[in-house]
Amino acid sequence: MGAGGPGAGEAGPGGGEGALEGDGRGEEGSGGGERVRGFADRVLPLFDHTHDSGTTAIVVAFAAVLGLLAGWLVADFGVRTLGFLVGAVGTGYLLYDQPTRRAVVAAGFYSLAALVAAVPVVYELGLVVAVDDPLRHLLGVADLLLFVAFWLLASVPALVGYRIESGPLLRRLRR
Amino acid sequence: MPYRRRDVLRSFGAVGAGSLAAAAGGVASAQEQYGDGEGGGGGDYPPGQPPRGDPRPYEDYATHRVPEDYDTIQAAVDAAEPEDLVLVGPGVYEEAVDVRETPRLTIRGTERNEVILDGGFEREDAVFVTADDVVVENLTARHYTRNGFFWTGVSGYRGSYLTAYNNRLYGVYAFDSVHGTFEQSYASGHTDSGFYVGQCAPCHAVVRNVRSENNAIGYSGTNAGGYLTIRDSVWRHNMGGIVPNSLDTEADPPQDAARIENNLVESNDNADAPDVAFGYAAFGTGINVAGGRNNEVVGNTVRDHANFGIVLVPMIDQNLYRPKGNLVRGNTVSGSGRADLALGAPQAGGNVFVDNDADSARPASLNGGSSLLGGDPWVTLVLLEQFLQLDTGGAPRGDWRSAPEPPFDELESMPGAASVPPREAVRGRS
Repeated sequence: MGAGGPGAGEAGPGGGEGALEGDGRGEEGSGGGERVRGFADRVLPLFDHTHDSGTTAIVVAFAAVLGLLAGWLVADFGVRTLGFLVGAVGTGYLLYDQPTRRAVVAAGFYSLAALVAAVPVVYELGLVVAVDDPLRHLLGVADLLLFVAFWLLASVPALVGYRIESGPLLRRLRR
Repeated sequence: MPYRRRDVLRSFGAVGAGSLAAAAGGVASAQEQYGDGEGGGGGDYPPGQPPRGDPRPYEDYATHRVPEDYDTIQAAVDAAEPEDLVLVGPGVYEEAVDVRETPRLTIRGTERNEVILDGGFEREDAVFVTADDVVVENLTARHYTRNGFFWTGVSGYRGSYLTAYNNRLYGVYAFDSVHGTFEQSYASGHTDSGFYVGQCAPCHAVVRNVRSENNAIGYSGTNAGGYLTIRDSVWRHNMGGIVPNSLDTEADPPQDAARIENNLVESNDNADAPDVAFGYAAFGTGINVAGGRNNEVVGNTVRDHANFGIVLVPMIDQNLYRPKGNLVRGNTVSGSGRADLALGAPQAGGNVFVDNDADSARPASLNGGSSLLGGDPWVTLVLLEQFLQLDTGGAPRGDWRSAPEPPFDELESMPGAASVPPREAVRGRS
């Protein structure tokens, strides 16, 4: 659970903007610093809240793993390092932006699922750009099997994330 | 054999999933093991070829001329004694020649491109040899339902200045045979491989100065190694280029210790090449060591492949054969769609990539980068998916019957073919 920053409270992203609207300075733009802060809060609402060290460590760990996976995924295109950086920073941002530790972990698993699901897409894309007549190599049974296999595989972390985010499924169904 | 191989490879799918999950070993440890940059040599025999002199000419021989003295090549072969020469003049010979009982025989055409054995899409092998030390020179074979030139179970063989095209399985083929040479020859339009040396350990064989194109695979060598050299040759426009491989369907797996040296390997991603067995699994790869060990891939130029330039991958059969102890050194690799250098997971360690000029690698550590894994599961995934595509019938392929004809004007005929004496198959046998 994050310790809310000034003006953020439990409102999460966007709370800071509301605070600015409350005193009117954001809209009038009477202070340059406040205007910058308003822009930053909209683009990087991370500054609205912080997380405890445990949650931050989880974010870092997820970001590292997901960055490595993203770099591995796009290595065929010669952008392994860029893939790692974008993956790590992007998922780090996404995860840190979550309001609670539970939401952080759930989003981490969702991100993992998305990258696993992207494997067959990236695989096929690598072939598309490398051969003269891509359609001769694509849209076969093997391609379908590849998609099914990796999407089934991706469903595992997706379900884990959903379970973490939503609580026990059966209990909710009984309600 | 291709069907057996295909059946065996069907198991690839089941085991392959495990392969993807298991990235075994590490290149770092391999480099520690071979700190001087030298790999190979871990098997029973070295991959390299000891120097041999030129084959010596026979001194006491008779010449049997076709069609002057005999109507068919087979009739001349049947009449010949060991060390004799069957000299065949220009013409199209619609026959299949068997050499089963006459060792040290030489069958030679007077003009490479004009002495043609034609299988008519119904005969099996143009020349089928089970006798030792038989030499076949300066001939063209086409349209056979199995192979162009085929030696099996022999000690001593040589094929020189041969052209094999649009035969169903192999072009120039030695199986379970030792002490041989394929040289100055050409093969195209085969559904398995243009040149094949299989099931020999040690092989004591050389493939040199040959050209192989528009085949499923340029060179295939199942369980073949030990004093086996593939060098100074051109392999291009096949589905896959040079593919030494390990399979349980032939004796003495795994493939161990071949030297692949100074070849030009380019654009082996030809989706129009004929294929019935194995080719598409290696599609888009230049030099593909499939479950081989202790090979030396040295000083080759490898370029323009849809997947990988030089790749070491595990091979699944009744057993899992992981690449081990291979040395990839001093090659120039460029223009690969996925990676110039690649090592699939799982691998058994000791695979060394040094001093190569390449732009990309999977994993990155093969080309000076860092990596968490010794082998990259992505590499195995690529070739596994291609095998599945082949196995489910969705892989592109051409028809061996209508594959492009060779560039005959570029295929040199044997100098002095009508006059020089026959020579022994190989020299320096021990």
